[in-house]
Amino acid sequence: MDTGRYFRAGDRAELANDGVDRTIDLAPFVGTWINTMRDTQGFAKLIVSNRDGKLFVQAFAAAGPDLCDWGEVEANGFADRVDSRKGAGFGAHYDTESIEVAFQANMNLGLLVLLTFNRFRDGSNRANYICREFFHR
Amino acid sequence: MKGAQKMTFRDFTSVVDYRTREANSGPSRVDPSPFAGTWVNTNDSAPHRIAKLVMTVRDGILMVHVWGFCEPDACDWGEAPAEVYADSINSQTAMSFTATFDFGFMETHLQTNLKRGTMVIATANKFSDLSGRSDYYTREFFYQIDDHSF
Repeated sequence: MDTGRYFRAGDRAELANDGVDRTIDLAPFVGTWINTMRDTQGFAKLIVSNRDGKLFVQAFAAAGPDLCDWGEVEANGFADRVDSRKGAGFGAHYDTESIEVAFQANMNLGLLVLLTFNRFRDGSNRANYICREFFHR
Repeated sequence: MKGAQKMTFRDFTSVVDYRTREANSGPSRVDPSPFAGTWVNTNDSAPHRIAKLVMTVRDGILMVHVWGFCEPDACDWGEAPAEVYADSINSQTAMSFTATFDFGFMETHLQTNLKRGTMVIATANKFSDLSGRSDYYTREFFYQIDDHSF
């Protein structure tokens, strides 16, 4: 039985190798997500969409009276196991040249839990930092 | 606010970032030393688990050496440099790191954070070998041990 190459025992799976597309179900992520903290100073809203089987994230940050639209980037959906097709989390990456922000999102009890890894590249001496926030639909 | 005109709205992810940039002075390097040492998985039954990490600081860079759970012997992933993050923009206390391992057939991205002495590691695993396996996500917990025996 071909189980594929692996660096963890759990990555072995009976491989179909039949050329059938087994994309991850992205439906659990799709929608408009609002930060549970109304006075957040981080990301206030996410719009997650599925177009032609590709996942996209549009993030809006709190920065004064209005939200700042960070634009849309393509995201990668992840299942919770190698043999599962159910979407359990996604990752995305923004790069504005002055700051890189990596998104690590996972679903938990109806919430979208977002961990952002913020890396400054603008020479401002601000510390790279992480932030964890929660979003509801 | 001095210099505010030079910034675009995507130079910061929060209002705090924006204000701090104007006020900040001097180097702000996150100290990676809280991660140095050997960390082992709290769950010894999960087949997808990372079994152990050994982290060292060399020339100020956090190096992460990972072993995945395999039988009969652990799978040595080798070592990769990590990017270290603080818990806030004004802090130099390490709270998190990221690192990437590229195995050729799969890329694993580690994203971690410290919480009450426990290190939480999320892995995003993306296959490129057309094997039909799903890209998948894990979340595991680790505690630090004193020596390097395992």
